[in-house]
Amino acid sequence: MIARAAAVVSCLALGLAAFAVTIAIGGGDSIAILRTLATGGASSVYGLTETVVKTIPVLLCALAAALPGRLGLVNIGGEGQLLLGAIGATFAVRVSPPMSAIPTLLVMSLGAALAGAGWGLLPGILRGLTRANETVISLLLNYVAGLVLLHLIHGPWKDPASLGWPQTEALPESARLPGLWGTRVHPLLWLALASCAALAMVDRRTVVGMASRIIGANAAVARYIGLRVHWYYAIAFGLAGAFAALGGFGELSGIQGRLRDGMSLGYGYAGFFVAWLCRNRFEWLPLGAFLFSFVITGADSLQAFSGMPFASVYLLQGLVFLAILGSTAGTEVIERWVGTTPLSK
Amino acid sequence: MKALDEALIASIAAGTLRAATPVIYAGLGAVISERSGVINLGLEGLMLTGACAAVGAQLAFGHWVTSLLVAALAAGAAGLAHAFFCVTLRSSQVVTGLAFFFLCQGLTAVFGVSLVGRPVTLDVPPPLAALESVRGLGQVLGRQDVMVLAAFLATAIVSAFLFRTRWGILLRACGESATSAAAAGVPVRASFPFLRSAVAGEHGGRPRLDRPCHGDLWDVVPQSHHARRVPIRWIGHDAAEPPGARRCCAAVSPRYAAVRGHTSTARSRLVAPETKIRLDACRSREPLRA
Repeated sequence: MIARAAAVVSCLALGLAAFAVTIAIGGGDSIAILRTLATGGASSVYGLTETVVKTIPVLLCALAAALPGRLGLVNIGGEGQLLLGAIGATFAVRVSPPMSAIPTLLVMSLGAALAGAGWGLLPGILRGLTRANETVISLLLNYVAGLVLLHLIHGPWKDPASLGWPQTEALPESARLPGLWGTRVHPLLWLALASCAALAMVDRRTVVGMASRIIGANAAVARYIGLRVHWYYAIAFGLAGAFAALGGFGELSGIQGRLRDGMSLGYGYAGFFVAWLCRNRFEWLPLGAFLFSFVITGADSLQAFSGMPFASVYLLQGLVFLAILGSTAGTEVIERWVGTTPLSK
Repeated sequence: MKALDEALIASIAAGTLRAATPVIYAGLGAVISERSGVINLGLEGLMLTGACAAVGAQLAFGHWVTSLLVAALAAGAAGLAHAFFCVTLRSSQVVTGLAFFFLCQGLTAVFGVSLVGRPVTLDVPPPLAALESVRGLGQVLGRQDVMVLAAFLATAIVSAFLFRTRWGILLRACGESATSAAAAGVPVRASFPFLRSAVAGEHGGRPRLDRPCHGDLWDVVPQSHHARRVPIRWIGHDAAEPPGARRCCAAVSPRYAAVRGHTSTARSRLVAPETKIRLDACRSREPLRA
């Protein structure tokens, strides 16, 4: 465990070093940029709460990736499912009569969860019925969802008073999630954390969790011992879509206040990376999501203060993940050469 | 009126061919990659790399052939790096692909900042310009430049390579069953996926050049959305063997009874004896077929 932690830390350092070198080659001031990255998420109370604000969608998307991940499936569709959640919640507000805050928020979250679950069910069901590749389908559906969103905000749902800006009208006050402690952190944080805890319990202590792990280890065997594998696939993907969609609902209702382009700063992909980093262990997801959001917040302040494009943080994320990928995979290769583990691992 | 319709149809067809070209090149790269057994989710990143390199080279050297070569080399190098992680280090293909997507997005953002918004004019020659006066097909093909026409040639070449040559069949063997290919003496890890990734990167890198061929003003970022399209060939192809067969046995055997105790149905009890045989079978890591 200590060795693994050391490996991860040294890889993070390696990724950061590579990032600094690349920035320096690109003509930037790498020291200043690293300092901004490091302090942007922690220098002030505002930075910390912003990190927590971003943790919420990242954590929910990480759940969306980890749930199918336990079954040995890959869901890269968190991004699209999140967008569908925002769309579903907006739809719910638009069709429901004016109500007070709590029923409105409930209807919105229901709309979001249903839309996201439907979006997630598509690859899940196709995988169960036709053995289609759920990785590619969920990835491609991200682009479809993005285009659906663009269509809605440029077309039928466009705010006529927005002077051509592609966005919907602002949500009514009753449809806004309240901030906690006077910050932008909204109550979905508790939902995300509670879901993590509940899923960790289900995974460890229940028959369903045991069955999921068997399916994840070898679906063919699971089929032979009588588990209805395709049902598990469909339900996992549906739940995953619902979780990611609730993340979208939180962004819409708690942060943005209206449907617009750029609802997600790559939260879906971030969630996928977090789930992979935590090896789909639900109990580790909150920590991973927090660390990842820290980087995103740092990148935000990077954009604001150093004039670097936001995409440069993708460079950092990519480098760090490649370093981690290389370390975990490379360690196994080295061990195989050295012969400390049997060849037929 | 009829002449107008004809001109309209011809221009729509010509536009379709132009728009299809990036997708064709990217699709060829993806097919080679997929046929050799590696799913390349970093394709979009490779295309961005090629685009950025091409624009940089065009501003530096000013000739479209050098830009094409530089784009192919840059994206090919990124493809090789992808192969190093996926093949040599055996890291997860999906995560590596996404990581490369992000990495290339960041790299092009950092190094491409100075290029954004700068007008680039490429004059790629239309080789069939003589045909332009011919009605019908000539109107469609006559205005197309080399890259568009080469896309069709490249499709034929890749198809012939995969299905008509020794290397092609070996590459497909690696994709269908890496274990069998290795048993047959094919250097699976050493050469093939590397070759594949380099070619995939190269094909991914090319298409960025065909947009500005007509003297369009062009800047890198908006056009990259063309890369969003991913070839249909990816769908429905699943070459992976069931992972973790051994882990599964370890997981199932000790707690097998516990699971049965909770979810016992008549059907699964009937299946149980056979299951034991199958559990042994799955130790061989071969995919089970019902």
